[in-house]
Amino acid sequence: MTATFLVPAIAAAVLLCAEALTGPRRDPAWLAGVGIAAVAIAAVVVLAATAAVGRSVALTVAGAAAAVAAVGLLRFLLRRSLGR
Amino acid sequence: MRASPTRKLQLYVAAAAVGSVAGLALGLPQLVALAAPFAVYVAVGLVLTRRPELTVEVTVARRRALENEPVPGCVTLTARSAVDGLQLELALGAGVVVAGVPLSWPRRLAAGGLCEVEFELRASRWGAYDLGSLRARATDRFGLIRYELSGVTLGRLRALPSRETLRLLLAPLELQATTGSRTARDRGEGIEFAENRPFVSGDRLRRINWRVTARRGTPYVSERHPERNADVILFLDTFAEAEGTGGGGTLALAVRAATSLAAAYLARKDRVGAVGFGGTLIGVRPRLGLEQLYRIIDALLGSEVVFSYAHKDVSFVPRRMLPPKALIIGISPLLDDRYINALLDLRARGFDLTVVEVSPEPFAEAGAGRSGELAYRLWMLQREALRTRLRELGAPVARWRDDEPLQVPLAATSEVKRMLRRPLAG
Repeated sequence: MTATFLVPAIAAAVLLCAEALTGPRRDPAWLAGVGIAAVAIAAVVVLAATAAVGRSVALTVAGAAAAVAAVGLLRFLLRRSLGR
Repeated sequence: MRASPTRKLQLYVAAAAVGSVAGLALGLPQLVALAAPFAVYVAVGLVLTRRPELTVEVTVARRRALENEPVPGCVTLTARSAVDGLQLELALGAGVVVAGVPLSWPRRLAAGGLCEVEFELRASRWGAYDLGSLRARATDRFGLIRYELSGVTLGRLRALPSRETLRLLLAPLELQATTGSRTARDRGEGIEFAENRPFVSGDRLRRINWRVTARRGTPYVSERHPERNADVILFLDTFAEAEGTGGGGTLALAVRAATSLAAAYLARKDRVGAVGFGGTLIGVRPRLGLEQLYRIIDALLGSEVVFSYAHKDVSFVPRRMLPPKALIIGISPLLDDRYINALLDLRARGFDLTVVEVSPEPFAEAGAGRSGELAYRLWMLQREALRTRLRELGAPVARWRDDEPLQVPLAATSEVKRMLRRPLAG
């Protein structure tokens, strides 16, 4: 349980490491903003997962639907950004 | 600007996908929580990304420079929107290198920012060069999309051969009828005093030397040497060259020698022409002036050794390139029989010929073993025999090596040429 509540911090740390390695922006203000956002997003996911305990079928279906939607969104955004 | 995904985008998408799929498959929402920030980062980044408005201009200060002379240039970057992850890359043409410090530029440009990046280029050898192009890369502020601007060309550079100041030149045997700065041996209107002689009918009264007339009691006139110029033809061998391992070669040296000679003769108001005699024929008719120097250099910049089996002799050279009474200076490593035969032919036709031998010996080494050494010595003897033969025919040979000034062999040959001043046999 303790590990579950540490997940937002771990998620923020992983994203910050990736951000610092890949750049292009490495200034403290940017990294702080990214870290806080990562903590918030991961916390929302953890809370949603905690609330959905005992409804694993519904969670799986919602997760699969979210994954398909994410792929579609990604394709749309990539086309828009690359101008193709 | 061409857009393409960065490795960062690929990495983040992969992290989000792997985390989500693994979370769903293993029933671990913690993995989904780890992946979610990556997915949101990508989504937000792609929604907010804007194509950077970047203008890149490259200026090169000069289009002509001496070989190895640094040519300054400047890249002007104007950003109308903020630009992140800026990278500049010079894709230089063959033979062109960045001189001095490498390019340095800011990684980020604010909106409305202007940046000037200075650099220096140099060409390591004379010739006409395509300087290459500049490629500018930038990313959006999230670093997910790379924008590339290519095709900013730097234009062309003509690297002129470096030249040596020559004070003592080979004097031509005969001068032309046009006015120049050489004192002719015959008598006429001029400045240089020749002799006094008794007045004869038809002499101009202004030429009477009154002092001598008063001393001798009869009218005497002063004779003078007229000032004339000469025609000089630089006859360059482009049949063959000896190349060194370091990139130098006899052709590069020959063009430098030709440029030095052309500049020196043109400075003395002689008419100078050039003939590149080889696989392809290059010809510049003899003319006067500084413009002619650049005409010759431009023609020589395109000279290269074109391998050819074709038989060629002097008859391939247009007649107007070889005017009568011209001093022909052959510049050659004396490696190709066709060129050597052309020299002999020119001499046989009565041209005043001198050969500047761009020595190929520094570029050649004796082969391994005794037979290799023997072959090398035989080759040296053959070359010495050729020099002797040319000298006996009245065409002295100035041996020039890269490690000494061109003036040294020219001065020595000038003395030899003075001794050889005698009518041609036959």
